[in-house]
Amino acid sequence: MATKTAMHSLISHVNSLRITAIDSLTVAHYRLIAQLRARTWFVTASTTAFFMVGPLVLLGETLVGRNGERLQPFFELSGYQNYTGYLAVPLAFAVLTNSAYSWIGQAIRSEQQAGTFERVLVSMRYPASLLLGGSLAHLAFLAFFIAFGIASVKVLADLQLDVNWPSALGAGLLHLYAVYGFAFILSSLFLWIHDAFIVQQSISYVIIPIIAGAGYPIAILPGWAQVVAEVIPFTWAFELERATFLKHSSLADMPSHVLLILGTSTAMWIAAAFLFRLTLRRARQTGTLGLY
Amino acid sequence: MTASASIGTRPGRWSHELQAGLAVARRTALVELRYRNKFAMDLIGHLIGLAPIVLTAWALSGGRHSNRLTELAGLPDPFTFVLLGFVAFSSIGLGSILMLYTGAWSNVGWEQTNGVFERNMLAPVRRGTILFGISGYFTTLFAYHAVTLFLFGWLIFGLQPEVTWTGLGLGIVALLCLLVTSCSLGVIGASLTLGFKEEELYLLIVSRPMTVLSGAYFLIELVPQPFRALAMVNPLAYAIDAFRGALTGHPLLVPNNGVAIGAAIAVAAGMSILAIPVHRRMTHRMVQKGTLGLF
Repeated sequence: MATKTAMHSLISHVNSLRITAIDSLTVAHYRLIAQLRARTWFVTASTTAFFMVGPLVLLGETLVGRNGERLQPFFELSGYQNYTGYLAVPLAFAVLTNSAYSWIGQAIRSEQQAGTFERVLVSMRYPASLLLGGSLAHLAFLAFFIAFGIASVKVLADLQLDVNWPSALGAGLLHLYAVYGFAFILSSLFLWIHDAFIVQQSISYVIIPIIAGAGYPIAILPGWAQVVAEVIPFTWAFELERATFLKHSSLADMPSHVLLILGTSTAMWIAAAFLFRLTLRRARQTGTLGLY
Repeated sequence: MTASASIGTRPGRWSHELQAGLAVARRTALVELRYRNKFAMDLIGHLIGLAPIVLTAWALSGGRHSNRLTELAGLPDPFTFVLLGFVAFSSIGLGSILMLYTGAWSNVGWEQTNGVFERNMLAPVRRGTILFGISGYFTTLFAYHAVTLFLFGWLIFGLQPEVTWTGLGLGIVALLCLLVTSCSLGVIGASLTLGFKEEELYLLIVSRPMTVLSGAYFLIELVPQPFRALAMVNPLAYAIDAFRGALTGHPLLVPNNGVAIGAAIAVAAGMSILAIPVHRRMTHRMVQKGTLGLF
């Protein structure tokens, strides 16, 4: 009897996963079709790193310089002499993965305004598929954006990359694990706050480029801010990316970084699931699933 | 459609047009006020936007000890160079963390989707007045950004401009030129967004190339070719250089402040002249195609 119940439960779980996967793929498919309507979007997104990271890399050239006197102090502070790579690699990741926050959350708002959100929820077994599907569609082009982004910044400055490819891929995946956890948390805002896009933009801006130190070593921050930075997975993800892209380091050399990213990101995924369920129930109760 | 088009194109007296433009700017402000979070961020977003640049500059220069800028450009303090550049940058709406969502071009895109734009075009004023009114609100906001950033930089970071009466006067003239340029760029961006139904288009062909090659917080001479050549023909680079040059004693792209201010005035005038045919052509196209509203 017990074996039969366990078997039933297992089949039910497998079935749930299968349905979630199918729903997510359907969402991803339609999301990509919708995005194709904005013809210039792909070019704009591809060139984001060049336009957003380029000026900061050139700031490095202006203040440090290839043989400048600031090279040694910067090495002592950051552990890197390669200041252009130090800036460009994590900033490219930060700028390009930033699209996840708008891509996933903003899509919910668009569906709310178009009136299709209610319709999608009716046909979907698990609402989380909406977020997972959005992430799948986002992933479809993200790798290209990151590769193109770093290559385009290389046109402006000599980045001197020394990449350990398997570890760099691992670092990128860990970063994405954190990014999607954070994006799912921020997506819940769209079911709760009217101008959520601004709140989402502000939170992600303060946390990623400012506190997590995408463009500088967190050692220059005051003590309390360093403590805050150390509980943010992006801080460690940026460190991993610098090490694997610039120093040929392996993930095995930095196990504490890997564990910290995995731990904090998993916490974000759990918090996101809880928040999404909570805000969705609230939206259903208050009749604010659609915004016309 | 035809009726609204004929009413919209009827020219009015200048005072009437000005009044209408101010009414549109006031209405835009009232609409913006309804989005409290956005409005709050519009008021402080430029200060937050400054943070990563300052922190990066701080890490690179070890506080403000870099002498490289002195060697390359004769500017003693790297922070003054970066901050003044960022002040000029913010006066054209590029300083805020919401720069992609705060501006005439993104505002009219939203109005077009919601059908409000078509309704506004029924007002018995020139169509350009409506666009200039919307852009006027954002230009006022960007002026606030520039002034508060300057004060913030002075009070918090010990900005060290060479403040002489002449320099201050030239700085104010350069800032006004930047604001006129900003208003005109807003109209150009709004027209392109409306005409092509692609919000990204303005970003792609105008805003971003001009931004990255503006030399706001880096030296254009360090940009590799062919981008340096493009930067040298970027009008925004000259307007920003004029503002910074007025407050540091000498510009970097032209021989002296007089020439720099002349260039900034020429840029403002050129952009204003360009904005008029661009918006006329785009509005005409929309009226003909019946795409003033997108539902």
